Amino acid sequence: MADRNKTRSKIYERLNNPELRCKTGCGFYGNPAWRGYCSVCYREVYLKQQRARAASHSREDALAGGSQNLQTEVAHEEEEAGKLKFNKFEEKKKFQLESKKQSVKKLFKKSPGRSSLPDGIPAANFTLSPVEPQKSATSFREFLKTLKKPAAQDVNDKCKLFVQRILNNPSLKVEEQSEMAMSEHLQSHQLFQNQPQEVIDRTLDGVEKYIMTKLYRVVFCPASTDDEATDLANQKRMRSFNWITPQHLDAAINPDSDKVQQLIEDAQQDLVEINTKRAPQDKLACVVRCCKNIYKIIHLSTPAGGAVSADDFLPCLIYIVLKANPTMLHSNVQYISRFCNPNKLVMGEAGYYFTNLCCALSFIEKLDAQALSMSQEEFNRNMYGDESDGTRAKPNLKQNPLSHSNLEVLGTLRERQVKLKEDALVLQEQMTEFRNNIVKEVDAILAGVTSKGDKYLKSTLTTM
Amino acid sequence: MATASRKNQFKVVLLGEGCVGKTSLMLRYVQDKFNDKHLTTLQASFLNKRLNLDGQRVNIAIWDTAGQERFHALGPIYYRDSNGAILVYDITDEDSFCKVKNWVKELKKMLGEDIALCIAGNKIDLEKDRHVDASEAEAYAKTVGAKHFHTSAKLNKGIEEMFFELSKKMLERQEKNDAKVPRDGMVERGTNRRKNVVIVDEQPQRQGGGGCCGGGS
Repeated sequence: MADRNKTRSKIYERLNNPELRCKTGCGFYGNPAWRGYCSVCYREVYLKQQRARAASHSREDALAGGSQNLQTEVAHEEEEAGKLKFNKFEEKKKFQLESKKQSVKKLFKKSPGRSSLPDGIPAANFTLSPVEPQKSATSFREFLKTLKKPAAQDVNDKCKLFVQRILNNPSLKVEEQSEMAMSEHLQSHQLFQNQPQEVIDRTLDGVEKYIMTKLYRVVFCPASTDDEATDLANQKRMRSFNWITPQHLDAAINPDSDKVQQLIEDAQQDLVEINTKRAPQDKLACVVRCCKNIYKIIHLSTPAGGAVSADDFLPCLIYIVLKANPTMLHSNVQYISRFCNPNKLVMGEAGYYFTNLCCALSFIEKLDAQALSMSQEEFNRNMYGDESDGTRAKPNLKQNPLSHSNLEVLGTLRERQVKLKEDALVLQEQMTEFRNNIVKEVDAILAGVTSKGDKYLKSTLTTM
Repeated sequence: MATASRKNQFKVVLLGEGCVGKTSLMLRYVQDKFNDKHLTTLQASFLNKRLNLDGQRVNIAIWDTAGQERFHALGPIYYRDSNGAILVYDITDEDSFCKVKNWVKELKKMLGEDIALCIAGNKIDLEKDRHVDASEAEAYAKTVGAKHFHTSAKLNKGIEEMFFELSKKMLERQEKNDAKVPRDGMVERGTNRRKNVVIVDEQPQRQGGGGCCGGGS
């Protein structure tokens, strides 16, 4: 018993030995095969070396002694654990590669107290990674080409850093993230002080697009908020409002005209598309397109013509939103208001349409009998379907030929499904029959064989 | 710097009951048109206007709002972050003037003194049907620190002056705010923006909560 305790404590001693841990101090165990790093850290170090080598190859004349330098650095790294080395290494490389000094260093220094992990990663990111296979990266590079060279490099580096920083801090709250996004905007401003407004706007757009596309998965509809629940509730609510007609909202829509019908569908399509885009400004563009279509709808529906005022516009937008019932509208709205360039949201035309969309959503969220100027009983009747289904379904079909054709398709699909099932059952029967037959045959043969064998046995036995 | 050139950009919301002539005022001001069937622009709910104020270039974005009673609760979403508001009433409709009073109360509550206010008594071409006492309206405007204007979109009266006055007020306010901001203006603006974002976050949610109760009853 005592012996066992002893060995156990020995094992603990060994396990707690700091030399066994990863050299970067990340807390995991290292391995001699990975030069004392844990698997994750080793991969980073390895990748970094690879990239650094590739970079130094491509800039051979610029970095005559570069690779040598690198190798000694790496050798150092193997002996000494640590962040310090990483920093030194990074700075050296930066000195060689960068004309502008401010950006990365500044950003880097501004984030003390981050976990130890990001310390290594910026270095890995430092070279313009030429092997990024992603679509967003290519489009971003296209965009960078339009910028002047040192500036482009700066922007690129900073974006990558920023993306990494957020990805490495998954615990951050949404508000903090949007805060960081905002400060990123500001820092870009500082950099381009001497450039004309247009260039700055374009740069900001590009940066925003890139960053948000990269971070989309993390920051869209984050788990820390109840966006998802709201989405579901909203969707359900909108579905229960399928009985609402333009007349209920006093929306100036003439549903009889084919042209209007087409435009309504276009507008709905635009709303649905919001969810398929990633960058905030692309989402906004969808909203704008939808609103332009709505203007056309109202224009066509009012015979007198004239300009479209907000009095006409908002009811129509609400109607379109209700009909389209776009998925995750609430999340999208939240996402845009959190991460879109605030200047755009406050001032521009897109901001106006977005605000109207917010209004529409908010209106729908608390839509009640009073808002539709009908009695509570009538409202309830419509809401909870006391009316016979037939009377309700018909006008719906009339209004929306698309859903009608969809229903037809669904019907035929169902028929075919049923037939398929029947066929499958027949096939199953046949198969069981076939199996039974086989079993019978085999049994019969076996019986024959054994009886023969018995005879044979008997005969042999008797002869013996 | 980007923020510098965006300095003289203002957002102005038009508030008022339906059919008091908000859109007409706006169209008259920006395009000098009234009830014209041959409008070049389809939409008239968001318009930009540039003007020159004492040598300063000012750009104002005018936001029309839906005035129907059922959309009244959406007001805060429209007027957040706005620098100025024009409250329009119809001089032939006393009710619309009461609505203006409501709007003023609400604006003061939500935005405090951050917003420049103008009150417009519209449709003075219908003077013979006047139901709102002019002196009473002016006195009221004075008590809430707003300027009162008698306007007519049809006759193009008082509109230019009103927007001019409002722009001047907004510019003054901006200068006052800039003076308050310490040298580290960059940081200050950053926090301002952040605040905006938070407001954006909270507004719909708060209303959504109210809506659920309303819908359930």
